[in-house]
Amino acid sequence: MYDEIFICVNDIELQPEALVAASKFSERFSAVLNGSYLKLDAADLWGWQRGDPMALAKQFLADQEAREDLTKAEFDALTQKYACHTTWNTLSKYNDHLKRSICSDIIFANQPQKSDSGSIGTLPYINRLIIESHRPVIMIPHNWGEASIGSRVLLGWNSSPEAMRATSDAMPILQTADSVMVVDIVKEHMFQTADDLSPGIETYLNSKNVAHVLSVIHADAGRNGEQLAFSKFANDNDVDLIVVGGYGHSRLTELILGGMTKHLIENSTVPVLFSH
Amino acid sequence: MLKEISVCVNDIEQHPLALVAACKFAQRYAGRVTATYLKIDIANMISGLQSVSPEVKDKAIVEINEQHDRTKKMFESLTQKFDIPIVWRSISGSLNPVNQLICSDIIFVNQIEVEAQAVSKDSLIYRLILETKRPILMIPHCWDSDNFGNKTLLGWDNSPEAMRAVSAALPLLQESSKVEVLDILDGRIQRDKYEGLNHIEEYLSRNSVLGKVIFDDADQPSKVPGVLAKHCNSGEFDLLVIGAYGHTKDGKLVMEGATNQLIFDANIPVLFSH
Repeated sequence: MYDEIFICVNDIELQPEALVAASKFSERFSAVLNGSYLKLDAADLWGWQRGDPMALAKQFLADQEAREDLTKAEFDALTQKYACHTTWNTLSKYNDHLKRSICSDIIFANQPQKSDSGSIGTLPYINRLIIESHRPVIMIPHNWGEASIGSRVLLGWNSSPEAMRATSDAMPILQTADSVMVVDIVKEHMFQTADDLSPGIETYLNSKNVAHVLSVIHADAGRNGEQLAFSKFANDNDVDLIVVGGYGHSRLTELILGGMTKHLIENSTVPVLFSH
Repeated sequence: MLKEISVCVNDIEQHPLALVAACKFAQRYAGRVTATYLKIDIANMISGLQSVSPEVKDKAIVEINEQHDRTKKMFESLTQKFDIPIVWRSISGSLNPVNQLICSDIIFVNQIEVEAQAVSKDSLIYRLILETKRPILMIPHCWDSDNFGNKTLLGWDNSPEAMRAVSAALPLLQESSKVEVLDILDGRIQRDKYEGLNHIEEYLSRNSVLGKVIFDDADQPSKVPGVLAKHCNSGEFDLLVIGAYGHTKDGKLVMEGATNQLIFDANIPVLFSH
């Protein structure tokens, strides 16, 4: 069950979508919504003493206080439209922020802006949440438009532990969805043994009373074939949530060669639940 | 909820406890047990060996079938007293056994053989923890109770694995009459004792789990497994919930020593989550 939702609210002025989605979700599942604001620690500014004028550092801290107040006001204004119980945390270190996110049942985050897609070593925030928190993360795309989430669900299945985690983490959503489509992608010309293909997922979903349709779709053998076939299926079937295991391959493989997670983070136009 | 319960039954003639515990657990939570038997695929196994005579091959097939039938009979005798849905699956041993157990809410497994010298990377429990990533409940050889989870020890180290374990064990924690959250300081970092703990305390309290935090000091990282085993085997608890084989950012396993020691030494059931 989802009793506690975590969201980092630093970007809500520019991108309020994730907070709106989290508020609706909180209302639907009677969950507590924890808004977490990440603030630069004054101690981190000691370095300024070595050359930069301290006056500038002080000004920066004063601006930061004002920004926090502004964000808190925005958070209150947005969430009060929904019947959800909220809490607010101000955390001053990234590690504290991550530890706070770990102790939640689900995390909401915005899709990164194109400019955030950094090189290796500068991963966008959402990647770090998926990889480091190990909690399910729902990414809300830029153009979301406050549509429903979880009525028509596409579950990407590849018999991996990550896909099973995603299935398990999304269970409350799957059980209340109008339609659940389970898709197993088979790459053309790839050899697959019987146990690679969906062992037990149908039985498992049936035991949880999740009515679903299992489809096997074939993807081109070329690069990104699976990603393109999966996205096309999502578009053709008008889904409003994609559920997938996140970073099933090594991160380096994903970053260099690309992969489903990277593809969806960069291109998805519907919300995606990732579980790592 | 923990309703789909998997157990591998190849060893039930020698070690029936994991199956019995799984059935008791299913009865408690109105769950269903899927017992998986891995049958050796003899044709596949000796297809490359030209020197095997048809007589030897036939004899091996008979023995494998007899073993299968004996295990199935034992399974039926052990499970008939439980009024729960139980499914028997006999699958070819050439399939990846780990893949076959993924689709479940929890997997029961016996403690490693007493004779084992070390936790081998091929051992079933090691593979189940690392490869299925599902919650694994290990039943020790000395377990002789009807229940577990009344008095629960929760090993906490602020890691995502520990939180995964908490999340998986939540239905058990909510029913426990006593939950203690153990944080072991390893002497390496003078960590604020409350770092991260307030978050898990809040989380547990919101989920109606009344936990008490206890600390112990191991002086140095190498002593953490011993301190953990001491608490686990103190006689005060009947279940340990803990994250297993955590990772550093570069993918290196941490807490390997602690997990391995528990796999050998725990005398109460342990719920591992990787």
